[in-house]
Amino acid sequence: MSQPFHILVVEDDQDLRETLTEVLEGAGYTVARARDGLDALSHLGSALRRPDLILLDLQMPNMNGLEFRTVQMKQADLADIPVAILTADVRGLEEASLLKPAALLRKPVKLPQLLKLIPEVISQHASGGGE
Amino acid sequence: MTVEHRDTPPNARSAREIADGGAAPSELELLRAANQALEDAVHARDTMLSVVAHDLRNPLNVISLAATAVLQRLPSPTARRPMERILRSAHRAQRMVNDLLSIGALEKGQFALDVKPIETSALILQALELQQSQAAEASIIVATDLSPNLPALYGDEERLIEVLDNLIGNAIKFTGAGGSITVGASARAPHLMVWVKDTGTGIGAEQLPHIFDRFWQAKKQERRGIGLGLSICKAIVEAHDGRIWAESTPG
Repeated sequence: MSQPFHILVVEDDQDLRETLTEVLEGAGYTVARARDGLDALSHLGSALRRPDLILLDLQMPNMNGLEFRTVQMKQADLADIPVAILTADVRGLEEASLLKPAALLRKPVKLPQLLKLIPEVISQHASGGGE
Repeated sequence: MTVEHRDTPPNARSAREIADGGAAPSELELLRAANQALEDAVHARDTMLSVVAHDLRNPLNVISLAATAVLQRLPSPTARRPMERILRSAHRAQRMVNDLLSIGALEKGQFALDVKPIETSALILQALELQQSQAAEASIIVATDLSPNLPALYGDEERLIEVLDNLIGNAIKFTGAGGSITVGASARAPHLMVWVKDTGTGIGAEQLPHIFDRFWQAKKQERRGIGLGLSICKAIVEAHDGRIWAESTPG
């Protein structure tokens, strides 16, 4: 049997991060967590398994989502991991779309929307349509 | 000390002027200073409101996500009911937070739209779903009257759901048990008309022109909500180059 898809959740709000983790695990995914961009980079540097998708918040301390994505896109071994950006601010959408996210998800996150989006993004990426 | 000619008697001098013995600030300067102080206070209030509203979003999102997840695992209606109430309350609080943020963005001229093609009937059904359990608990029947082959519309999906959610929420609020609400849509080229109709008490003709004013409330003595909803609906609809209005037959 194939492994379930693996998702890295990068979100600074601890309760939101844990809740997203629980609902994704409930939907059959395996989940790794990071509390900001720096934490995510260090996780990606040491993780045994590369995520199939990164769920990325934009407003975070230390290293925000845009900074993380900029670094990730420049790193050859990480650049092709699809990223779904979570954002509450419509004004940031234009800036966010320059970072070529596989998907943009507006906050507040709604469960049905999230669970519909993830398999779409992963399968689109796997078939080469994500670039 | 020199004595100067003044239009005002000596006892009208400001306390500060007497204390430091300096030259009297002109009335215009005093007014300017007072005005600046007011502007600063308004700015501080707006900043605080916006920070509070932003900070409320994550916890509310946690409540609604977690409640949705728990709800999916609860089979019995009795067990589901309190969870549905939690979800609804979180949703209502989210709406108020959105209203506060929208009004702030509108005032600063930072009201942005994320325009995409949207399937009209899916949009309406999504907005209805948000209020379904509330209507059921209030014993209100909800129906739809959607013309077949509705054209897709271009707009900001979240914002348009916010409008419908507000209108349906209002309809529920002012419709008694046993009443009904209908949400309909029909194409009137080049426009698309979407309407929410209820069997509630209605609004008097003299009040109708005011219902889209900010902080206007149907019954002041029964304050429910912040009274921003309809003014924001109007702003959102107008930002889409649309028009919003109300018709009513009281009784």
